[in-house]
Amino acid sequence: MKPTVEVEKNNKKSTIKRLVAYAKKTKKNDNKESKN
Amino acid sequence: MNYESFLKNIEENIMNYLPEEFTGSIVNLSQTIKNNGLKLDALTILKPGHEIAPTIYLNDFYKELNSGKEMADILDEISNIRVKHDQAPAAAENLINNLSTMKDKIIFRVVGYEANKDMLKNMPYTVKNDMAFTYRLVVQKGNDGVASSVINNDLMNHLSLDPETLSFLAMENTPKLFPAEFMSMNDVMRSMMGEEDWEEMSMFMDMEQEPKLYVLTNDSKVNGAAALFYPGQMDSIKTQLNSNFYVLPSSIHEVIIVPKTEEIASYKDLETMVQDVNSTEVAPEEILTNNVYFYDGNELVLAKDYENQVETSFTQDKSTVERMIEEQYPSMDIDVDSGYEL
Repeated sequence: MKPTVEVEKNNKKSTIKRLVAYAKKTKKNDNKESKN
Repeated sequence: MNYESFLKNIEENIMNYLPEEFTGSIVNLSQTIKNNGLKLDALTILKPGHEIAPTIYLNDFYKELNSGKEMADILDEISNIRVKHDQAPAAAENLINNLSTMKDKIIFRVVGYEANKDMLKNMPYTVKNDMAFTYRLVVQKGNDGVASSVINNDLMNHLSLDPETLSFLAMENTPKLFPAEFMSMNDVMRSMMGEEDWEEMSMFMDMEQEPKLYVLTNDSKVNGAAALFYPGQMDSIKTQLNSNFYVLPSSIHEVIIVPKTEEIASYKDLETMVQDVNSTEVAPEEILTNNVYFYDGNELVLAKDYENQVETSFTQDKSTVERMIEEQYPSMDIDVDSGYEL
């Protein structure tokens, strides 16, 4: 039995990229403008 | 430098960056099927006299090279990771041979079910909505990452465990080993970016969101979407927000929580947003699913199922009201549609 040990680390840049994408799509002023 | 040359460069030069104790190690490159069917290039550096070595995936390092990082710095980083996790193989052997210790290190993770059917064939898993829980043995956890082994069918049998026991142990252990972190989106970004970058970004972009977004992950921010399924977690979020909520599967590492407010007319806009971000901003192996979920205070369901349920229940309620009016005022012709609100 030889399991594989994987080492994973948080990719900070990727996480920030995803969160910024969501933040951009829910910007308060943009939403107001699009509603108007 | 193309990708093949990059891999060859690492294979040929990594030994020059490792300390003397690694002399005589065997460097091996192989390909592994990972999340969502993605093939990743894996590096192992096996020290003499050992049978297990940590696996380091190289694909992300190539992205760093293309972002301007020097090759020497990448080799240095890989070397540092290997050295830092040098105890992992011995720890793995100890864990596997010590059932009582091993049982405290079993955790679960969450992946999309459909996209991982092939990978799941070889391992125990539990299906939840359109997601699947997989199980792992944590070998080491530190600031630089998490070292773990997947529990496939072979390892489960070797450990004399069954899927039900794995699920039970994982539900107990995961919240202890990887505590949940629930914060507003802006607080998470600010803490990850640092005050200076945050201030700079805030100057160019309005950071106030509508609806307000929250992030749920774990303390290592690696495979943190599983935190959603920690016992009592969804109830705790509902209490904090004082609202039912939508869940956007931002990635396998975190989910985004959106309180249900009047501004959200339908889950469909949220689903379009998830699909758009998944296709443009999320690495293929880090995609969780393309669906939006809803916590209604009792259970997590697909948002589309929830809205269908509400529509059905609305239709049923209307019939009941119609019947009541007909019984009470048999001679009146009343349009029950008027003034009806959800």
